[in-house]
Amino acid sequence: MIETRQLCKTFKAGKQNVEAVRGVNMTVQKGEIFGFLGPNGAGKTTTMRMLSTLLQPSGGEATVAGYDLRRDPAQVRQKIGYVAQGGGSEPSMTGRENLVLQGRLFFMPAADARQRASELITALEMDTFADRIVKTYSGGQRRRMDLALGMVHRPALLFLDEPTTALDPQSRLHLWEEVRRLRQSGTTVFLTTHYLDEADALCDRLAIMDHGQIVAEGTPAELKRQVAGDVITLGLAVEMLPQGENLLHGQSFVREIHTRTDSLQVYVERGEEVLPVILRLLDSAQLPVQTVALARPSLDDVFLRMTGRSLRESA
Amino acid sequence: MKKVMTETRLMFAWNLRITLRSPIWVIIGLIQPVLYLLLFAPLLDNLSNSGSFPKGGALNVFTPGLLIMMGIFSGAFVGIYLIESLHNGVLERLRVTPVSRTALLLGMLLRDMLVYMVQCAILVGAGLLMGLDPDPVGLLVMFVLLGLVSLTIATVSYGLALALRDQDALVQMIQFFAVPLQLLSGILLPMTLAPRLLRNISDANPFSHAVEAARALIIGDFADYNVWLAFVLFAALALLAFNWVTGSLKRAAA
Repeated sequence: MIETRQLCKTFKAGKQNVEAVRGVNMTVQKGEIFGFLGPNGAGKTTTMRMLSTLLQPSGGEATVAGYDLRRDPAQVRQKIGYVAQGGGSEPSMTGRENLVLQGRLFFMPAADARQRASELITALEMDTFADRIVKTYSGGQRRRMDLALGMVHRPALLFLDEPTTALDPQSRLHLWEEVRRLRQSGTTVFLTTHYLDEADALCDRLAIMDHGQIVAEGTPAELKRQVAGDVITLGLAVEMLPQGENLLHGQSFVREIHTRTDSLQVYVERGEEVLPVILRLLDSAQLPVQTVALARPSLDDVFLRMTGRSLRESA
Repeated sequence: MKKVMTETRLMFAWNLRITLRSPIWVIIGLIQPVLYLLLFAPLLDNLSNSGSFPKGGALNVFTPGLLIMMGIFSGAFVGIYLIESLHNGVLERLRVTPVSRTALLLGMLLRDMLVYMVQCAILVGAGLLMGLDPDPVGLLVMFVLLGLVSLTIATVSYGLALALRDQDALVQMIQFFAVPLQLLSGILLPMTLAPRLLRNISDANPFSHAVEAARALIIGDFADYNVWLAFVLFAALALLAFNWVTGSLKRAAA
């Protein structure tokens, strides 16, 4: 659905050239939710704006929804929907009016455009506010309307720029549901986010972006596995710690082991499978385990590993 | 071509509905010229008997100038609306649809022109009540000229809006240019009263020829060279401005 080769964007800021995007190569498959995760200023939005025909790339190639981005931007526009960070509904008109105009601009006859607007209003549960002017909407209502505007012409590919920024938790979950439903209907969704949990919960695959480049790409699970594996923390009586370490050290599944003041930290590949084995081993060696914890690496650990910074700090 | 026309019609209707939802601005734009007409025009009555005052009587001289002034000011500020839609994302959303950039611009310009024509009609109506005595055909031709002038200014205003992207900067820019343009086009008092130097400067100001042309037309003097000069000047300026703005709409502008 999307393929890019060495996509670049350089802005002029005064006399300096700012390289916002520095050679992005990626492939987005049909029907998946693909996410761009990265701190603010990483180049996520710039990349998205190039792919949605709003910005001319400074270099590189891209095919979007089957058409060449540089040669055929008009065809690309027919196939894609785009929901900007700040939305784009006209504040002094009602949501329904906005939807109808949007349909008309995609060559729908008036009756079809009205029909489609009603469909979306029902589907996204906007009946209570669709006929009020957009200015009066709450943040969540407005976001849903923005999403609907991007969906009017049933695009094959929908771009969502920071779809849940500044939403309350409930509206956020609601929006995630809508995005998953879009995937079910066969739409490819490309979104940017700087929320770890959003990338984790929503995206089939994601690319981590930093300083205008993709530093890692894969499913959330793959990315996390790439990092350190899982950490199992075993609480043992202090005098038994050396024995425990000796016992586990020779096991093939242990990557690394560290002794802390009152516990052992064991780094392993697949924590959920290894944990019962470890417990059985220690038990049969008469080393009673007092506490146990299994920690999964988060996407933040992935980001930390790739960039040397925590995403939470940079965002 | 048919596509552009359909889209222009859609965008025009849309923009007009937005304007009609808060028609207060249309009325506010009228207040200043109406005040000038009521409170300033009577002062010209005695002056108009002096030798260097153009022919036609005070109101016939003053009203066309007022109409152009209203065109300059209401036209110059239309860009503010575009800056708003730059910031609230409306323009960006429209730019990702297949709608042609020409239709986007024309949809706004036609709305602006219609609003201005209505304002002009109201002002001329007030003038008639006070004793304005226009030549009917000349009046119609003058409206065509007024439309062309306001179209030019509004287009430039949209171009500046896209270039500056900032409301304060746009307002300052307008104030910087609009007042000298207005003073040097003999809107309030005819330039025939001015010293030679000022008159020469004003000759280089296209608005001055538009004002003179409108004054000639309202008394039915089609032979005045300012009439064709103003039409040619503003047709050319409008075309230049239109190309400039559709160009910047096509490039990144959000």
